[in-house]
Amino acid sequence: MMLGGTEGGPRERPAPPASRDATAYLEVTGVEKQFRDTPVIQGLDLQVRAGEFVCLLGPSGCGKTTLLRIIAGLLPADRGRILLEGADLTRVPAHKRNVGVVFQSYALFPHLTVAENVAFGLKARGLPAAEIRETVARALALVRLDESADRSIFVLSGGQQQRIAVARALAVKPKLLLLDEPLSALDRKLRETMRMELRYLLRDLAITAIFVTHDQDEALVMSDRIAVMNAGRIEQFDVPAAIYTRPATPFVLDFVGMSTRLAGTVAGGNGGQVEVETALGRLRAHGRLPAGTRVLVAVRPEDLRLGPPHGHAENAVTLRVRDPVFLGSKLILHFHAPEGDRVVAELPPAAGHGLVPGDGVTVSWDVAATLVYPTP
Amino acid sequence: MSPTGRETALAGELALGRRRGRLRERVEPISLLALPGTLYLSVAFGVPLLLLLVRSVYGDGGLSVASYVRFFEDPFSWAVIWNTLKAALLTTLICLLAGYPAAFALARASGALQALLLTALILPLSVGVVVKAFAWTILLRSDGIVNRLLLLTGLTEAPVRLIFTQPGLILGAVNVFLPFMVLPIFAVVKLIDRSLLDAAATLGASPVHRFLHVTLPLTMPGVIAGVAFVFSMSVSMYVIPTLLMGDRFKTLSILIARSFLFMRDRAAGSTLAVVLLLIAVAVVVASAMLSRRHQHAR
Amino acid sequence: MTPAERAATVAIWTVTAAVVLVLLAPLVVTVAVSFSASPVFNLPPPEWSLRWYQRTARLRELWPSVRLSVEIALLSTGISLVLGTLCAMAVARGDFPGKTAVATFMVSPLMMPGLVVGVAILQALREAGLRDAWLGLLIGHVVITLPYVTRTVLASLSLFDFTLIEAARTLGCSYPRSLLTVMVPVLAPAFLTSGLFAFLASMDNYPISIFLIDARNKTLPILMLQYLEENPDPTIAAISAGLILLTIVVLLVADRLVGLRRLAEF
Repeated sequence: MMLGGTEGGPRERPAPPASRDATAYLEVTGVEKQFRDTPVIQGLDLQVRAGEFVCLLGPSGCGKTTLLRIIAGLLPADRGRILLEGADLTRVPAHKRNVGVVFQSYALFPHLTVAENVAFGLKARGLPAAEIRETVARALALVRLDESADRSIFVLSGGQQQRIAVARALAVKPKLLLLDEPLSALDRKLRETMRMELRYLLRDLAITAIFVTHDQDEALVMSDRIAVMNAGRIEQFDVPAAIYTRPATPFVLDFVGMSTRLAGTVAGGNGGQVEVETALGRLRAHGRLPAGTRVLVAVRPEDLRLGPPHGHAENAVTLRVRDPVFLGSKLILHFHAPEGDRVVAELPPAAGHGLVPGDGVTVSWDVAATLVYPTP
Repeated sequence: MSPTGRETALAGELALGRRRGRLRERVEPISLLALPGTLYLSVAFGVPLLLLLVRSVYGDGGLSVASYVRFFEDPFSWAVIWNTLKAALLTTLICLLAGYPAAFALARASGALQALLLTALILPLSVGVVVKAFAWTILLRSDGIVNRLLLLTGLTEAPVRLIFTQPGLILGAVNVFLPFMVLPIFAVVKLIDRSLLDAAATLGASPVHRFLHVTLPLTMPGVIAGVAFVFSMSVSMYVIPTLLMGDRFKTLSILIARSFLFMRDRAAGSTLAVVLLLIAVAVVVASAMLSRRHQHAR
Repeated sequence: MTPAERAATVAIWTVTAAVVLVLLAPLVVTVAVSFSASPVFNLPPPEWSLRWYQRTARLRELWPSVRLSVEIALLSTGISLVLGTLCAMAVARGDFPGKTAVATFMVSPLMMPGLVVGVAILQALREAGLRDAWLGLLIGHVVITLPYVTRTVLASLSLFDFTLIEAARTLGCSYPRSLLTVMVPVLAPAFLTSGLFAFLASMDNYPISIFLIDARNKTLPILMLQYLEENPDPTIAAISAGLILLTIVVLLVADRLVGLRRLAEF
């Protein structure tokens, strides 16, 4: 897992909006949606603050695009309410919501030029021609495509088309901007550039935005808060740091970043700690669970180090190395683990110097960094 | 240069190039596949039409447009042209007004409903214009279904004479040509990307605005194709007016048939034929130009 | 749905219902009349009878005429399928000057007045000394059917992914063989659709045929129109009902093979 690794430096993220009203700007309450008897969204609540950049992160089919379409008004929810700035949008048709959307396929109008595309929403509102011209020019300048105003959209590259789609959606000054995997069609280098460009643009314009993606790097890099979705529900909605270091469920744990996973049973506990019996020995974690509970013990790879434990504050296991993977700035060590379990460590390359598959090592980590989840 | 002229020239160059041991880059072997078809059509279709054209301007004493002058000087000719165009325009207009919504219905329908609609469109095509025109003679009679419907809905008080009238003719023609309007439009409507309409909605476009500024422009290629087909077919129709109006309504086709088949007046017939041909060619050219303007790469 | 959208939907479906009725009405009428006992076209018929069908079986000229029409239709469709496909391939894949002109030219007979084309071909044939009606009909009918094939196959080819052919060639097939094994199956629906429309266009053609027939070789539409003008009785309805039935069978088969939806891509 490369937290900030892709940019190769400390993570640059624009500061969260300064004046943040705690009352929700967008409030989604109790939304449910079924397609042909299959529930796609189940009792979902979400609150987004003004100026915030929120990511809906999840695998295909988790309902994130459906939720987006419901908020946009392109799909009616079976149940629930959508409130934007206090106004109830639930029954309002899409064209009256002033909620902008950037589609995954960009959905640029093939029969219109670049400028006409950007002007479309303004024309639909019946604005005077002079104002439209000016607004279009500004929007195109914002995405640095003022030169292409009169060209057909087919001569543009993927990245340029994406920028036009954004300019078009922003030209009408929407109250909320929804983006449905807008970067997924771009190649990797372009994606990384566009991520930050998009983020800065939206921050400068103080636009509240919800961004759908299945790419965890994107979510971690761009968002103020991430809503991790699974099977129609939000499993955790929090700032990126919390999502990563304190995943609320095994799903979030697995979806965001790598981790060591060990199955076990609670053997006992005292105070704020539980003792878990696993195939690799007895491990301790913070928490309170009744004895006999089947649990999953997890820890992030960068929290592991080689060597014996420093006293009682650490857990330790002894294993044999399976695969050392050298990634330039770090070394990923995969270990032989019992069936169904996994142990993986991330270390500075020097620490694993000389290790070969088959070597036996002791791996230790902080009890405080140990995550434990009851499993059904 | 005519297409075949070019083809022959290219083939010649190709042979020459081979002999010199080089192959010209511009002419790929696959282009030559067009030769048999184009040659056939040029000889069996292009040449006869050219001959017809040429013959019509060659009188007894050489190049002469006398027959055309006579034709256009006769006010009766203009009445015939007007009849022809009027019938075609009305038929095309009604086909467009009825066929455009039907194309959308066809695109939106699914399963059994779509199968029913498709059958309703394709089955009549198979049955032949003679049969259909004949069936309409039955339907349009004073005691026929159409009149009964009109009386039932109170639109008229007494049976209306429909057989051997222009409205009856248009009705029959619309019946025959409707599929040729619906199917090309349907082909284009099917391809419209739904996300474009979604995008338009999120940009604030009302349903009417979406229709006028997204759907309509995108369906234009299909509309142009449908209008071109129906107009050119209805401008040339013969069996339908013959059966539904007999001699009362003189169109160019009816006069052409009369000249050649019954009156053996080849000269007059040729003149009429060329006039009708030129109208049809004008339609083809106009539709080609229009569709080029509305061509959107996909 | 906004009220505007609701109103539009109602309007669309009302018009469509009317369209369906108008399209199917003549067919229903024809079948109904064919079972009428009365020689006058009364609907509903006073009595039901099969007499017109019996007459059909006894019509001397009918069966040779049917045979002729079917022969010409099948042959001309077959020839057009070959010529049209070759041409479509050249236009779709080749890059030669006058490409669009060729494509337009190949489709143009559809839009030319049939009577004019018929008389032109007749005169040209006379000039060339060709007096055989059968051959003349065939020549004329290939002209009518070519546009259907070229148009449909070209449309299908423009959607065809030619990298499939390259893939076949890297797997060891020669160019012609890869065309046959990869492209032909994908084009099969286009062949079927255009073949069907071409066949029907040929069977139904009147304007060109009227000039190319002679006393002994009469195609079905000509015979039927002649019959209508001479003895207007429901025999014509019986023949037509037979044609309708035949087409329904063909459509059912075609639907099994490619699906009705594909047929709509004319």
